[in-house]
Amino acid sequence: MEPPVHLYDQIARNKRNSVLLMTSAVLLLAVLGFVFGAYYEAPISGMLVASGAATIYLLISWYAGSSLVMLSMGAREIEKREYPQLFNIVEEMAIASGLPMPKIYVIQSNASNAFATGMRPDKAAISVTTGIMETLNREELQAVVAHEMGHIKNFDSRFSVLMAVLVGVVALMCDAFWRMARGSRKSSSSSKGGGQAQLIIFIAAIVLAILAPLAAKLIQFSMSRRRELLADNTSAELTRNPGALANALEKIVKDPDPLDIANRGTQHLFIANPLKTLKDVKALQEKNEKSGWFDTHPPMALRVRLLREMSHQDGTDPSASRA
Amino acid sequence: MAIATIIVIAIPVLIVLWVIMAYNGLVGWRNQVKNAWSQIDVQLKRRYDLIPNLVETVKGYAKHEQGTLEKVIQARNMAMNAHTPQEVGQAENVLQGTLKSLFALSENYPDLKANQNFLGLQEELTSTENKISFARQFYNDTVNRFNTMIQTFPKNMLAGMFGFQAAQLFEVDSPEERKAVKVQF
Repeated sequence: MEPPVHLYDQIARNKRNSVLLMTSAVLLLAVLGFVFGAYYEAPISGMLVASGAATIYLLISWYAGSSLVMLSMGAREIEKREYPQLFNIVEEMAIASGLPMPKIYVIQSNASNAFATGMRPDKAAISVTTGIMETLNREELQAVVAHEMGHIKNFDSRFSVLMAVLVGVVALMCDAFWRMARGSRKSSSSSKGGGQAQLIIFIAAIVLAILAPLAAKLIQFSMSRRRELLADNTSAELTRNPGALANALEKIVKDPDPLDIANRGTQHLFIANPLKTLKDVKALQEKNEKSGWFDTHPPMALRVRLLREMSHQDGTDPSASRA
Repeated sequence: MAIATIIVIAIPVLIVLWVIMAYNGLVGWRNQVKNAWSQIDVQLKRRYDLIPNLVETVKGYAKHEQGTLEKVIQARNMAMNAHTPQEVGQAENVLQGTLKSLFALSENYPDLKANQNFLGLQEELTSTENKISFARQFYNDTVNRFNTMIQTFPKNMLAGMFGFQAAQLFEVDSPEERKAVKVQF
């Protein structure tokens, strides 16, 4: 029953990468504040404004975020007698992970998808569509719930809120910079001619104002992909049955029903990207493992292959599954 | 001089702080091991509670299977009265076997298989079997982490000093047992 070492290795590597990405996002914000500030000859206040804005934004999304998401999805909290099997499966995964039992929400939709929310494990919730319960068998649904439990265990909601805040603040600052730069063009020519240093700051500020929002977005997407892989690993760790998740992902991708309630703002939450299924099916069939820069999810072909490799390496007998 | 004094004072203070924190951490982990063990018991008890209901439901449809039903009840009572871990293990094995044959015989009774109550109980038992084995898995994971902690430097010194002992893994001896029973047909 001992899980293979490489599984924990993958989880550790994923965590390291996430920390690295997070740090670079914070650094980006600091540099941005510094340079924009320097443009107005106040680099330190620039940094202070940047971190102040980030803190306020963070507090708001921290306390209002997940309930707003649930509301916008039309998810309804259920009791055990309504969906006993789903309830049991979630309970099983709570036991396997040693986490408190999350709340369970169901979305009335033929689409097959699921997501987890909650800033803390003891306030977390798992949502699934009615469609996914029909598409998957018990074992596969268990693997999907384990993936969501992985998001909870790895504090991914917190992570993605942090990322969204960083991206938002970066965009906000660049926007503010453009507006102010336009307004102050006249006065800047009258100020003391600083020469070369001022020119460098000027160019740096312009370049950053163009590139920073893009860079922040790219970091956010890359992070989102990492966290998905990490949750896949955690699912395998909890169920010791990575093959079931591979099967589930294939079924989810091939399911043609669209999820109407998903949009650009919420697509990263789901176990499989609800927006681009046709392209995903093709990529899976062609075993295309290249991820796009703006993808919120890793390519299905990659996820499925990693999971299948795990199930071959750890030598677990597929008939030993508990589902 | 001043710096030397600060160092001389700071190092013992830091060591004491570390000992306090590490000790509390070890106690926390020992309690987590205990808690993980009690989770297994919770699920075992839940299974004992479910079985009489199941037998009652099956009785109404399969009157000729008195022997199998009695065996299930007997195995359940044996498991409930087992004390040593070895006894428990054996009794659980027998119980799992009898449950399997009970669900197998339900195949012969279409009315029974269509009964909502029976289907509900079947799902509950499947899930309880899963929960037992996931609780065991979590227990073993917790024990592994705890044991590694008290066996590796530097916490092993602390563990020796305060008498923290390695916890027992939940071993499964028969490969059959490793596969949590599938009561799914």
